[in-house]
Amino acid sequence: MNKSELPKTGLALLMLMLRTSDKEHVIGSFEVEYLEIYSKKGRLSSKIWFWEQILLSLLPLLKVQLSWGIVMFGNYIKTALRNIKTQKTYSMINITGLAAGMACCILILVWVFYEFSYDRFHKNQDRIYRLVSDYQSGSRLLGMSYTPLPLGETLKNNYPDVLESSRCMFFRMNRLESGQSVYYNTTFGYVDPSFFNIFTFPLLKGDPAKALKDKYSVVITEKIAQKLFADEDPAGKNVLLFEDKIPFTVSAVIENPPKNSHIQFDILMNTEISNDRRKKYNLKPWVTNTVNYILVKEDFNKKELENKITTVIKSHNVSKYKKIYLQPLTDIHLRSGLNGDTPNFDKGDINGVILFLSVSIIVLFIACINFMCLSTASYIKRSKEVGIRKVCGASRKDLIKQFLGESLIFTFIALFFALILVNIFLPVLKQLSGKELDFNLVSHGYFALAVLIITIGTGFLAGSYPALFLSSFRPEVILKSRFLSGKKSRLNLRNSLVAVQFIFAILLITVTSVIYFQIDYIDNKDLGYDKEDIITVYPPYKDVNRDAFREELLKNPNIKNVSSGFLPIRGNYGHEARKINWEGKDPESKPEIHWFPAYYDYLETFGIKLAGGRFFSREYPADKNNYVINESAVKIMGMENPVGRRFSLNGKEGRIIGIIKDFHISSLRVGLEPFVFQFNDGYWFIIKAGRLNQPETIKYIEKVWGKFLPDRPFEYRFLEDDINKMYRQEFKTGTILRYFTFLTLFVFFLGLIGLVSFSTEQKTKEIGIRKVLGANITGIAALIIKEFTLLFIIAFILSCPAGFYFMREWLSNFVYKIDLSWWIFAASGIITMVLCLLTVSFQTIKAARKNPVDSLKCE
Amino acid sequence: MKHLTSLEENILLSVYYLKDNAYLISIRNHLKEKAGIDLAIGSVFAPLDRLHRKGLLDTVSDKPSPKVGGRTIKYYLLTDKGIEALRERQKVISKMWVDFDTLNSKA
Repeated sequence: MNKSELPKTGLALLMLMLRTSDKEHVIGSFEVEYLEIYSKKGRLSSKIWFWEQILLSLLPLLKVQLSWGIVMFGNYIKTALRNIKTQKTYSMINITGLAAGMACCILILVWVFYEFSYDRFHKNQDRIYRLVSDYQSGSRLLGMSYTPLPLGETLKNNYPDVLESSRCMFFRMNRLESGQSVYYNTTFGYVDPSFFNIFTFPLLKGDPAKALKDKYSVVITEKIAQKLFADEDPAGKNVLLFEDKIPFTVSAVIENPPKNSHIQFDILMNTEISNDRRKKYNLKPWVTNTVNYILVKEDFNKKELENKITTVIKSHNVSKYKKIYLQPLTDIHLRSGLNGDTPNFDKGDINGVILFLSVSIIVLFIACINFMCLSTASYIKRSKEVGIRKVCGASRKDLIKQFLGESLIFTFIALFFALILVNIFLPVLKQLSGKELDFNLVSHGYFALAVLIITIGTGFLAGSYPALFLSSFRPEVILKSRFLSGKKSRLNLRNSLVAVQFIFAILLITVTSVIYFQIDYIDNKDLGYDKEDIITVYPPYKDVNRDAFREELLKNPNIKNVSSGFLPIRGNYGHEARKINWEGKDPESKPEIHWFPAYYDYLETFGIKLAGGRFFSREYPADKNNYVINESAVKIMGMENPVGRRFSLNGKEGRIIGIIKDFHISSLRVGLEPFVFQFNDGYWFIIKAGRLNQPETIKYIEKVWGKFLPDRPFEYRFLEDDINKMYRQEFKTGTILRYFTFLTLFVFFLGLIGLVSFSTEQKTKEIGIRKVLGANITGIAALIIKEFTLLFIIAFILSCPAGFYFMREWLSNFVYKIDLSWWIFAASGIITMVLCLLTVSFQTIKAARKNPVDSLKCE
Repeated sequence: MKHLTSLEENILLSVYYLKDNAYLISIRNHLKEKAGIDLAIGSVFAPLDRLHRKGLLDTVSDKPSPKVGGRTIKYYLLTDKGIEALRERQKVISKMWVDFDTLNSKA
């Protein structure tokens, strides 16, 4: 373009509004008259004329652009659809792979969004904090969700930043009676009246200001209202709570707390009730604990408040709370690994979320790469069309628009199928994860936006390469751009992308296998006791003569043994044995030993072995005051010849009569701990049943139970189920991960098939010639396989350190874990390789068998 | 037959009269001189382009010419369709405007 005399800004504007083919002559038209007026009437007049022309021409020129835009749009769509029809196989593979990848991604996002949505329905959600602490328990510093009872209120009264505070405690398994019905597993919540000011749990009936004013009033949820009173108005009715059947009046009905709330309850009462019931323990207020929530001002100073809290703590001399923090409400579900979190607490895990988010990105990435490779490959076939378009006057921009447009069409078609897939598989995911997942684009604006961004992003990303390179007007760029589809240079882009996919595939297989093996190991590890066929029943407040109960039960031949005490999965925080003393103890030493109550027959019921001495026995009535310790305890106490030594716990004197071989108490995440067993006839009923006829055995136990405790519901559990529950998070993660790995591998192999078939197609002539010259099928197949093998080896080598690192991190959560031996990596690599080889071979053999006459026909 | 706007009709006529010399500037000037229609360059270009798209006009690009300040010039030509359109228009006009003189004098 020659240099123009027209004002620069105006010229630029004109350039914008004109199509390439029109630029020259239209601008020329402007110039001629502009110069004429310039020479006749001077600069100003010509400028005025020019801008007047531009303003008046603006609309018409835009109309021209628009009309052509519509014409070309129609053409691009027609071309795109025509091309899909012509290259049916590629298109199908492409769309399937993309749809699967997008579906995977969306499913994971639904879950991730749900996990992040916990507790966000409260109006004040960004100003609510829970007070949590680092608590000194023995020599350990534990993260606790408990803080001193009066702390919240003290803060509210003394610091204007804190607007409201509420103590909240939630307990399951409580007795609720109304009229004729009795329920034993109601969740009671003890809260302050300010609870309703902090949290958004709307009342269906009643006034939040008055609901808990009266100490003996209770707020029930819709669910309970329906259960107890059906359609009658619950207001003012009486219910009897606790074992002592205390009457309470229903003052309000509250909406059921949503599933994505960490606070779950069936009824709410005033905290004072809980305080009253704890009075018998005679604890000072600052030593008693509770869960404190506070509501703060908009622009409060977090640091300052935390410092003030430290001051308050110090002034009340509660040294066991080493530090107290403000935990944001929205952090509780995912980032809280604290002890004492409320029951019904559906603990989430930020690491799990990150893991799945990464998987979703990986899947999408692999799908995009496949899409990019395949579509570029198919564009090469269309080089004639591209050439003709260029000759007919298409500009670079036009071609880019066309290719990107086609790519977007693909992605939106894939999105359509992906949404169908999501709807089909969402119930499966719901079941696997146990969450109330909801896929509702309409109501979740952010989510719909995310999905849209993913679709458009994928389209742009995948379409960018072909769009940018194939539209180039410089022939050498296009010829060189064969580096995506060509095979000349080893280190070309396509090969690197395929290698990256290999790496991800291998990693996924490795991770899934390791998790699978670890879970298998946990399942089968010898815990030092027999966990099978153990039925446990939680004792009621009213107790029972354990020996009489046992005798009655043993009448049934299907019952092997009966005992009582803690369960081996009780967990080992708290329950420290206090004030331990023994003969020969060094007065300075303060060993930490856990307390474990057990009854006669405990060892036989669980098949636990003794390392020396004996267990509590009916033959020695003095055993009621004696103790048994485990091997770890012996070690930590540094005792020699422990059997027979005098030992005292909390002042109770007795002797050590036996040493138990260590067995695992609590999960395999922790090591063996020292325990002292004290004779006790309370806590769980433990029944060892026979392997066969278990339903009948359970019926029998229920009958006996009914004889001893006629007004208690019989609720039993199998110990194995409880043990598995400890690893529930890992189980769930493992299962879900397995499904997604399959899906990702599906997408990956789909892409591989596409790539290979294209590669072989490109080589059709070469294969034909080789055959003519005498090559056999194996030789030809070997050609193609060779290419991929090297890639694969590189990918494998690169994936090992990454896999090793991640799995070691994860396994470090467990004290007892599998060895991360080399063969796991080797196996994953071999599996992937074998699958790849099968895929590749299938295609190449198909190509190799083609008749050279057909391959070498002139087009 | 699709309907032409009055402006489009005038442009087609201009192209007809200008014969080999019909380009953006000459067409615009012709409209101004003969019909008193004074439009911005873009406002003439748009209907020109539309006629071209509809197939009533054809374009020919020629080598740089002083007529457009040394830039390449684009000439517009009537296609068969374009001529046909003008003929139709003429028929309609003669039918609609018949006896107009008589009408005029009576009023």
